[in-house]
Amino acid sequence: MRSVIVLIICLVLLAVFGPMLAPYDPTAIDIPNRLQPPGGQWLLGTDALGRDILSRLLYGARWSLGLAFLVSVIGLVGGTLVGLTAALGGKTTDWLMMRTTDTFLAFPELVAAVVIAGVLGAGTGSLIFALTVTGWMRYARVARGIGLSLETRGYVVQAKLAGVSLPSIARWHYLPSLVPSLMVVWTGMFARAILGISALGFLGFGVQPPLPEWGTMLLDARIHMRSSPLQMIWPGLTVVACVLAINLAGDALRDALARESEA
Amino acid sequence: MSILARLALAVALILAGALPASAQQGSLTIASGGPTTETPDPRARYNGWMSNQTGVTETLMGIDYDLNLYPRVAENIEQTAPTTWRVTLREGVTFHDGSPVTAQAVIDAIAPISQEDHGGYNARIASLLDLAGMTADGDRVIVFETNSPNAAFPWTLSEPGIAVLGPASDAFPINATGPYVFKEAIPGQLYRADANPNYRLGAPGLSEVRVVAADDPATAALAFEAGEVDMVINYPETDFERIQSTGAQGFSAPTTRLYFYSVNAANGPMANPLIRRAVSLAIDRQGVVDATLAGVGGIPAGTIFPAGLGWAADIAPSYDPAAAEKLLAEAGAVKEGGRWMLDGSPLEIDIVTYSSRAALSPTAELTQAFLQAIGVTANVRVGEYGASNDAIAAGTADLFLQAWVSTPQGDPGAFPEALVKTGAGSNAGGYSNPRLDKLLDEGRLTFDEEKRASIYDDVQKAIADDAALIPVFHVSQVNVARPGLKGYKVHPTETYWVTHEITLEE
Repeated sequence: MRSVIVLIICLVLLAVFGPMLAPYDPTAIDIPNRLQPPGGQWLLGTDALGRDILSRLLYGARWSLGLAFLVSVIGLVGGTLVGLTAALGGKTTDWLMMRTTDTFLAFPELVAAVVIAGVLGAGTGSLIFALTVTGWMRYARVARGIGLSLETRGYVVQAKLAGVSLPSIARWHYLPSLVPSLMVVWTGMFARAILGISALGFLGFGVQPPLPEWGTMLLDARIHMRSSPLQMIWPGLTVVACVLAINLAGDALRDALARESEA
Repeated sequence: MSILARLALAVALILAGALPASAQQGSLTIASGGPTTETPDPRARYNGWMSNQTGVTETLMGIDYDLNLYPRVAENIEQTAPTTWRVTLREGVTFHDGSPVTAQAVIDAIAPISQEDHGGYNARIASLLDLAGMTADGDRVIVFETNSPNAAFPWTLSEPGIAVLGPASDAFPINATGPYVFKEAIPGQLYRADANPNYRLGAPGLSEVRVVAADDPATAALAFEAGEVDMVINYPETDFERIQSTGAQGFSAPTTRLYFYSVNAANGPMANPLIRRAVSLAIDRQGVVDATLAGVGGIPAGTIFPAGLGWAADIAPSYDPAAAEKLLAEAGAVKEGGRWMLDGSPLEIDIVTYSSRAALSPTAELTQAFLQAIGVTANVRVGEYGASNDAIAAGTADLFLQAWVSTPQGDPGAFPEALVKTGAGSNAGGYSNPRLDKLLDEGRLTFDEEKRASIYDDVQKAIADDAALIPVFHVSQVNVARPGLKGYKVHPTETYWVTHEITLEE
């Protein structure tokens, strides 16, 4: 559990303070020094326009991690609201909410996100919208499932008999039980959001030039894949490392919660 | 093998595996853009480019490798009155189905270009032809009547869309005259043609020509290295030197393709010619060429036509940031805190472009940097061609970076008439200059070659003076092929790839 917290703190620090550690302006073009190898003046080398790759990766963390955080949190809030409404709103509401959720789940997330981003046009706003629209359903299913299991608990029944409003019941009796499970789902969805942002960035639907974002860096570097492979390897490795770390954190969180519930 | 090399190889194999074709004995597989329909009518849209490039279709007139006009399926062309042209066909030419090429067949092939309800309708080509009528004089002579005198008419007959076509059938959906016979097209994937053993200039050197769709140059390059294709048209310039060191043949030669900015002249900052000229002066074109084309791909452009390929006026590219800032001040902009302000707001320029050519996006980014260096805020959006064009037309973008062949038929009129003439089809930004319009009309009406050259010098000067569009660089086409490919040369109009003389030795 401690390692999870440390890891999450590290990622937050990277997103918040990464740019301060960057040795160069990530958008500063330096044509004479384009495609420099790693070492010396440029720790990870320079890209095709002479921009420092390390600086772009550090600044890119703000976009890649920051946008992934935003997308996953919007999905968490939205999906939880849908799930709780379904659990508390009666049969008709439940049916409507869950069939809507099923309909959204029927589409492959990334493909749907690509279609939405393609229709809306390239840009950060459409990227956030596309990934949010396709990323709330799992939260809804988990929230609804746990919500229904709480329906017959004594404290919930008593609260209903005492005339406590449904939003209050949701806030004070359902939400505390949901948080641990939703956090596990969230870690997975956060990792997927990083991959989604990088994928859309690589396909040209993401953050627009010259802003650095890891997927966009991969897109820019693909033309140099054979002559200068490190151009692609650095942002690729960064995405892999972050996603792997977050997934491991999710696993550790799940194990810790399982131990807690067993105890 | 190092881990890095293994990783790169794995990626190459995965990406290359996505392509539908594999190299075959006696066939030439080319990676380039793919067809858009199952039977791409050469007359519609730009379909004629692929059928001409693959040697399926031929035109009445042709353009040689020095941009000279020559009779192709025609034997000669003669102007008998200001608006009348007599084209005599070569003797004994046959279509792929064996039927003879007659004057009436040619008329029947060209007429649908102007018929809106026909699948071969093409407003762009119809405008170039500007035909009042066509008649057959016997089996071998077609008499073309144009609506007004048109000096570009013989050149227009080299437009790949004006293909010599016979009646289509199930066996010959594109019944043409070239050294290769159209066999099939899978939209977005494959265009295939087989050898025409009865070709009038001799049997072709290849049994088959396949074009597999690989719009992304990086994907095409990987397919080439994986052995999936024999040739890549528009190979990534940045990898050209390395790939040649592996034994591949490299082909690079100047073309008339121009990378340029069209402007939104109807509203926004680019409506002001002083600001347009300032933007032009702020761009370090040599820097762009060095950074995006790796020294093999092109030359900075001062005008729309490249030097050495005919028609170019003596207008050198200028890079002068100080002069650019002076023009901005003349335009009424004020510099505050290092940023230029116009009418109380920051001077902001929105650049749009598309991603199907590797050099477009970095060129836009470099322009953004050059503009920011003089204190002008610039934003770049990379999307699709159509969306970028729409953005200019709707006034939501100011500059549109594009790449066009500036003399697709060898004649200098078509490109400026399409882009900067008032109301022209591709003048999405609404640019209008009566003097330029008048010059372009004069260019069409003038038959004396020297006078025409002088008129088009004036056209180029008018474009440069008003920054009607902003040329950035002329690009060389960079292609790569297996060592066994013989007889291939880069054509300056990019509309000719495969001839009957090309062979591929194993």
